[in-house]
Amino acid sequence: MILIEWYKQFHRPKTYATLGIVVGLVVVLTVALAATGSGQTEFVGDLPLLMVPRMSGFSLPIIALSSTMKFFLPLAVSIFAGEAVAGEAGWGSLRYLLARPVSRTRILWSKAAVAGALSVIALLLLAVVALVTGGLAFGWHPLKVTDGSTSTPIRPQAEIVQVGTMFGHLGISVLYVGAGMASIFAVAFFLSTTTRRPLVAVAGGVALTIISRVFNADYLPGITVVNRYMPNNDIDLWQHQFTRPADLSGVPHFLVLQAVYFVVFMALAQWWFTRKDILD
Amino acid sequence: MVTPMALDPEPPMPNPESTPALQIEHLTKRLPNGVTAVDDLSLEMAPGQILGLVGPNGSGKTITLRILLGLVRPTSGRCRLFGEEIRPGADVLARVGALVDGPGFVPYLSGRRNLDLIGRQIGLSRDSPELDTAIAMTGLGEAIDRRFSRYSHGMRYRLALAQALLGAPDLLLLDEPTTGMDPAQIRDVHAAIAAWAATGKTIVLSSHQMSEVEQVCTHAAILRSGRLVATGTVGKLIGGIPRVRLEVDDPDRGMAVLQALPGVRRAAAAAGPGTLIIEAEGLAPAALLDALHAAGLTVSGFRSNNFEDAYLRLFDADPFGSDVTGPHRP
Repeated sequence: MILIEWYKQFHRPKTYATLGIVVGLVVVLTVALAATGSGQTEFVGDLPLLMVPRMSGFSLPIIALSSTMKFFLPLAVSIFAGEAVAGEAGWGSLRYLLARPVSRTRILWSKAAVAGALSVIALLLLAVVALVTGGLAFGWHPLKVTDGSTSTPIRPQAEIVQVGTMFGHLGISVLYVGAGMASIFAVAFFLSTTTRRPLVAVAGGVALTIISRVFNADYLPGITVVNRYMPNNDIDLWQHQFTRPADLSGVPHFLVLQAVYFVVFMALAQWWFTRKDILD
Repeated sequence: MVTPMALDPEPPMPNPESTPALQIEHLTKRLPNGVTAVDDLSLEMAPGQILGLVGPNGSGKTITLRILLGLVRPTSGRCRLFGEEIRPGADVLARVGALVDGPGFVPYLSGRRNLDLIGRQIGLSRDSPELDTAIAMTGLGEAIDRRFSRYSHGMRYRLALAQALLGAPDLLLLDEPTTGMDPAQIRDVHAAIAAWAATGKTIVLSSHQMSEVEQVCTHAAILRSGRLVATGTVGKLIGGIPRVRLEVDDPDRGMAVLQALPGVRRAAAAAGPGTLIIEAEGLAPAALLDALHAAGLTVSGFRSNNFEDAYLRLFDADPFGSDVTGPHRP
């Protein structure tokens, strides 16, 4: 079943469009920085991190992850997860898939596995293409990163990250952002089992990040209680790797939250999909 | 208004020596919106029968087929196919092929790839001869390699029929398989159904075209609002006494001529200009027409009774019933 599902998704124009946009975004970002970035310090992320992008190609993966983790990556993940079941329901092929002697559980998890794999591919593609285009444009040199939140003009909190350490930092960043997509994936996937309109499921996944941000306590201090349980507020904590001292105290809470959202919504998807009447 | 029919509600002769191909017992399905889509339906089919499942839109035909495929859970009652209880993904579904609610395929893949993927799901290898047979059966020629989204209505249905036959099923559930087809295509599909039946397949054909059921099916079950109204062989449902509907230029004189004919049991005026309806036994249509011609009448319409009449008798008022305008019982 996984191979069948893989074949379907791998030959799907929308899959290529989504992955193509990921690559295109990174390339545009690199070209833009190469063309206009006059070797000046740029602010990256909310923290912010201050860096001179042209100093090293390693700035590119950091910039690419920061600029996509709040909207574009959630959108890509929501497309893969949200289309998985609802897409087939919309085409009318779901009933033919399920009218065969194959358990619904197996079909559901084959779809989850393929959608998950495509999401991982999108994330890796983003990081790897950024690393390659960044390196080609600016070379793979050590990168000086300044912590914009604690630095003063007199006492800059700067760190020069060596090439070897950089790979480790980037690996952790990708893993962290990837973990942060788990809640979005599960919500979009669950919604995908409830509708025949894939757009609803995709929108649901994206909405989760938006709601997370709307409920962000930084803007609305009154709802701190809810805020703690919104899954995507702390998606930018990985940037703290580049600050001294690194404040990573929120990481365990974030990862637990992701795991809980993932387990709850995937279980809901399983519960609903194995019980629902297929009327599409 | 349902006019009760003088028919035994008994199921079509089950063959005691074999397991029924299909067995439905007191099946009821209530939808979340409160509608009872299927209401205490019981039905049985022996292997090799071709059952026409007939009824107006919303009478529960499609949902019954979905229940038989394990797509929809019944509220109560049970369904067995070849003796095995139906549940989602049941093993016995390997013996069933279906076309439900129109074709449904992956739009950006070719017809061939779509069939291939379904074949792989049921364990056929890519170069299996059965796949080639199915592809040949679609009659799509080179179009089989075109994307499904570019297929015309008729092509989609042909692909859906080929899909239903993959895996050499013993039972075919075909939900209005000739919807939107032209007469030539319909004829081809009917011929194909007859050919499949000849190989021993059991076929359920849901339809609201009465002529289709009459031509193709051995048995019929008529549904209304989810309930079984009548069932039996098609011949039995049409009824023992032939009825003829006639249009003549002078209905009053026509009536007199007809009532005088031997074998005419009843004659009455029916709705429509100059329309008469008679029940006659042992009277050839030619003799009937000759007698009318001999009396100097012009016959502009002639139709012998058929399955459609039987169906309409169940759903509309009987022409011999309350809406009769002329004299009857000679």
